[in-house]
Amino acid sequence: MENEARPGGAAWLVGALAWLVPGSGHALQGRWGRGLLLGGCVVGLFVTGLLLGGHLYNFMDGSAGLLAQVFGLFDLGAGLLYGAAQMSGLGADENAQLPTYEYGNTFLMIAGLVNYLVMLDAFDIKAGRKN
Amino acid sequence: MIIIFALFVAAAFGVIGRDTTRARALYGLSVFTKFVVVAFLLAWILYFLPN
Repeated sequence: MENEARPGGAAWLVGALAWLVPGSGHALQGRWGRGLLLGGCVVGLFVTGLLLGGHLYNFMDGSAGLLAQVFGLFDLGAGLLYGAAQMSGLGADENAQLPTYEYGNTFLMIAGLVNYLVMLDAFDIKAGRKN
Repeated sequence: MIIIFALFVAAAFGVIGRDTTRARALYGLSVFTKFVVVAFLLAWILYFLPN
């Protein structure tokens, strides 16, 4: 069995920052190009989702059902973008009458899911598992 | 819309999924193409299915 060292606190910190600000985990480790590109992708997906009239689900709100809470966890992956949008009321309305509403929801959820991947990538780089 | 979606996701997958610049570009292009082709195929299949 491989004896792999446990990742240190710095890796967890980079992971947390990468989740909060998309792309920052890579940028903090000197990988500016990758950070900007990945952050740009997440922000682009998120903004497009909002422009299409997507709705941001609240994972704490159990009244909308379990699936809505799972969607909320996906949305939460966008970190501070999610928090800022929630606080400013963006994506709060459910505009189901819009033809692009479901597309918007999908863009918002994928923005969060992609940022989870970006966060794990930044964590792995800091932990020395990846270049 | 699928083009915008595929562009963003393929770029992210390409950067995360491979280690060299060339491999990233090829993988990103491959993911992008698959997204677009599969979306169009599914759209045409659904078009011919009765409601």
